[in-house]
Amino acid sequence: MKVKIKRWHAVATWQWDVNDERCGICYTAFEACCPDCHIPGDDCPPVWGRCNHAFHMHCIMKWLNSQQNANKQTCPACRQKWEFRA
Amino acid sequence: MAPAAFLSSCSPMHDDEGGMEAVKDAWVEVYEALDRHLLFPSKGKCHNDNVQLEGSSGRAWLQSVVPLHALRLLQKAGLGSLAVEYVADCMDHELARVVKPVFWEHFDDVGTGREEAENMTEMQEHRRVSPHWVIGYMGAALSYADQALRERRAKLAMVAELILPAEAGRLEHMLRTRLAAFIFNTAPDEFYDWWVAFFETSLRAWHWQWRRQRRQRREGRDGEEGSEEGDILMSVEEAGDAGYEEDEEAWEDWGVHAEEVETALKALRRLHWLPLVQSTITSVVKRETEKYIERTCAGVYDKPCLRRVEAWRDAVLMPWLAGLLGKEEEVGGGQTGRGPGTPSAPGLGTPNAPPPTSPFPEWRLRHSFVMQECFVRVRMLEMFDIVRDYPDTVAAARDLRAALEVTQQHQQLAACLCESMRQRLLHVGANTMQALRVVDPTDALLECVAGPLRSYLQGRPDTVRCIVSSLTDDEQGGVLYEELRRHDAAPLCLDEEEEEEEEEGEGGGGWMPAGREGGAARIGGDGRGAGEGGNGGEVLRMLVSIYGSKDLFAAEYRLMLAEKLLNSLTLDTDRELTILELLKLKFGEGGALQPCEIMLRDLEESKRVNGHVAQWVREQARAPRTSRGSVGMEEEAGGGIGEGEGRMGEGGHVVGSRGEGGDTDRDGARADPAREAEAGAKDTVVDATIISHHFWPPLQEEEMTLHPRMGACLDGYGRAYAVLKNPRKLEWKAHLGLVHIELEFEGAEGEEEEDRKGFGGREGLQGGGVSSGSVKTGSAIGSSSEREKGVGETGRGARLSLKVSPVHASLIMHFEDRDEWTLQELAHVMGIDADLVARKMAFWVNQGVVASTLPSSATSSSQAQAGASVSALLPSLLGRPTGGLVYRLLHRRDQEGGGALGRREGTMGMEEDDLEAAVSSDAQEAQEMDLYISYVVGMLGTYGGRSVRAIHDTLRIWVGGERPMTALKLPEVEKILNRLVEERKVEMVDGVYQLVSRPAHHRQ
Repeated sequence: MKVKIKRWHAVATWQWDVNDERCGICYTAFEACCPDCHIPGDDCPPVWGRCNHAFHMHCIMKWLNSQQNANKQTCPACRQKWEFRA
Repeated sequence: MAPAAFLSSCSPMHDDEGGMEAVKDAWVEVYEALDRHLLFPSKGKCHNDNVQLEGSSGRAWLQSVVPLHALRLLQKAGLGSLAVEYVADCMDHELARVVKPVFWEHFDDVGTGREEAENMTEMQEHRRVSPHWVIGYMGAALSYADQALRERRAKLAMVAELILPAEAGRLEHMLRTRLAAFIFNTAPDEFYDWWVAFFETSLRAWHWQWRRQRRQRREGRDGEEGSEEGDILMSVEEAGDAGYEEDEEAWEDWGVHAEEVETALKALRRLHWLPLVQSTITSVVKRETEKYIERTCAGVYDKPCLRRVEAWRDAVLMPWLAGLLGKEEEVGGGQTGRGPGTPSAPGLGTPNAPPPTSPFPEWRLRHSFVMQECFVRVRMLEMFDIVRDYPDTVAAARDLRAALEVTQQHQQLAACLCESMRQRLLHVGANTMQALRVVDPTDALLECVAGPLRSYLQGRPDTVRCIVSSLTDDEQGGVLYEELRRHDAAPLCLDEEEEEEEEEGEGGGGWMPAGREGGAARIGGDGRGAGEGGNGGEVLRMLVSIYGSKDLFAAEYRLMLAEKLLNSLTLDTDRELTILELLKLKFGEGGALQPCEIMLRDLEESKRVNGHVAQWVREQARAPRTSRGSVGMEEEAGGGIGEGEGRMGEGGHVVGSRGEGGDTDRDGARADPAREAEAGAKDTVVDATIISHHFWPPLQEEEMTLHPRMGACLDGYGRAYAVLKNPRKLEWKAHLGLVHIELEFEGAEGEEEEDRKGFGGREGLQGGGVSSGSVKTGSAIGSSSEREKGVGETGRGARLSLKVSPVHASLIMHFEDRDEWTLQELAHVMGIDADLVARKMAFWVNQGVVASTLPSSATSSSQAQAGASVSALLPSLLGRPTGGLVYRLLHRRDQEGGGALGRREGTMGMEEDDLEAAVSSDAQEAQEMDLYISYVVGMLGTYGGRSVRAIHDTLRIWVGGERPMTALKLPEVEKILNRLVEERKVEMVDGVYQLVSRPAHHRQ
């Protein structure tokens, strides 16, 4: 007997390849979206800093914009200077 | 009153002594004459008792006996009335002393009869059985009273007319009133029962006569049976007859009584007592109506009954009443009119049109009301049945509605329905709503019964699902779905009709504000006019209000949607999108429907990704690359797939269904082994539904290991995804989804042997990793030649095409590697429970692909031991420790039952019990519960001991804002706490909950 798969309708969940489960700012999962968004996925991606901390892009942008001194933008988690990881 | 008293009372008015004397003498003369001749004739010298007391001859006689000169004198003195009043007084006394006792004497036998009856119930029984028993007594008594009154009235009239003609009428009236007063004041309690019986009898007797006449008429009319008039008459006759069938043998009795009744009624009319017993008549009418309705309408829901009752009323009851009461006015002079025994012609001739000359509009009106009230009362008790059998009971429901419009008994109806709902099981469904709406288009009724419905529906876990499926099911044309489509523009919370727009216009015609008739008209079947639909959205609104929250429906819809989408093979979302849009219009944007949108987006996205992956895989296959990842494992697995692809090639028609599959296959066939393997592994047999799990209901988690070949398929896809969608990756829910597989059995013995060898060799090499894989599938030429052979043999081979769960697929694939597996082995490779394996394997056993045997009988197990017999055996096997169970592939499946296989192919599908819900509300609840528990534990850790109420309040503050958790009720919090107490995580002291003092919990 031979078995062949003609078609397989499989189910999977997608995840961001992030170390943390949740965004440290809004504290929702990365796979969910930040509070300002409705649609998860590419519209609301996570971003990484050099310190390897990841946040929703929208969240960290909000945070950075709220920082008084544009030159001293820090990671909200570790207080190191925030730079986007390429 | 003695004459002396009269005189003394008169004397002060006359100061003339002489005149006084004369008047006195005159009075004595007159009074003696009256006494002697008129009042107490037996005392004095006799006069002819038989003298005609009425009319002018009586007057002449009176003039002859009363000394006229004395009378004149009296009249001159203004005392003429004295004589008249004296007579009246005497009559009055006679009525009280003579007539009244004699009247009641007529009923003495009734009394003895009652005493003879052993007890009251027997008595009542007697009465019930023959309500006409009293007619004789009643008739005699009434006739006597009538006679007595007539005599006395005549005497009085004579005197009055002689002396005071102006007063005659008043005096006569007075006399009549006095008699009635005497009789009714001294009436025993049963008197009214007798009246009731009397009138019932009268009605029956009337009905009997009516019937007799009608029969005669019918006999004369036999020829024209088919005419329209005849039909109408027939229906009325039916109506008249209905309910009296059981009295058939008693008909003759009624005939006998008819005479008595007529006599009694005449007397009654002359006595002017009818107004006094009107209430009795009313109650008789009511009772008869009730009886009739009960007999004819109860349990009859499929045709309009009200009309039938009306016909009966017009044909029987009203004419009777007319006969009874109508003549009373004419009877004033003591004339006999047409008795009730001679039904008026209109009652028969135009029976279903109420007699236009009916003198009792008020009776008619009153009776309509009574009738409808009775009707409602009867129906009320049956409301539940009406609701239950709804589509068949439209007629009854409409009747009820018409009646309710008159009687406004909605309140009672609602109460009654509530009661029966509480007592009986509810038939779930929109029909309930629909039926109630027919009864009462304003929905007030719905709102009334919403209470018990609410509690009931809430108590049933499946109702929301029912409603939602009805709402979204377009295939079966769910009623609610129709509504959803029609009223898409009506947002659920705003019931102002101005908010509605005719957007879809499906109903065609111009929009009209919803009329009250809408519900009924629509039931009437002319369908889905937009105007009629005005009420439609309200059912939904009602349902929602029953549950108090739209979110519940939205959440349920989400669950159902999830299930549907996960099982969907096509990834088509058009239909769901449409429904979702409709739902969004109803339930509003956002809220619980927001995730649904994402779910649908996920599917769209998945479709795109599938396309990209397929393309990517093809490109990869064309442009060879160094393989990534753990080569060894992959290649072995890939080998398997490659072979699978080869097999697919054999059944050329299958490949045709999917173009790129064929492409890949051809590529693979030409390319070097490694590449073929890789391409095969990543071939797009896989369609993935990639979901954003945060927006989906919790999926059922199940750990299992797929067959390596299957795993490889997924890995290939996953890699492609990781590349295409970097930095995202996939996590497979291996147990979900659906696999379309084809089992191919070898047709020829020889080939089978050959294949067995092949399998055996492979089995031996299984540990060998890369080499074994490449050995088996590496030789492209070999496999292609084999393929050709396969095509040649296709005619003899058998295929079994099935859609199964990945677990099933995985299991059967293991049999491709090896013919025999024990249950334990399978459980081990699959990484799942042996029980579960046994359950899943039952499917393959049932399909006749695999046989299960105990090891002891394994050798003797013939191949015939397959299919049903084995599956019948299975439960008993499962009862024992199943470790020893062996599953064996049936190679000869094809020869035994190629036809059977062919048949099965048509009915591919999974066993019902294998269709486990991918998503479940239980899981969702559990998830929420866990959330609460974590909150509670955290709270107790932070604040120390708290009361339930405090915990509840805090929980609401913490969790309230986000989700439908505002619905969290105090009892639920108690439940959570109790659970924690049971788990010994929390303890309760004096109503205060606190964490069990173990350091482990303080950390939380």
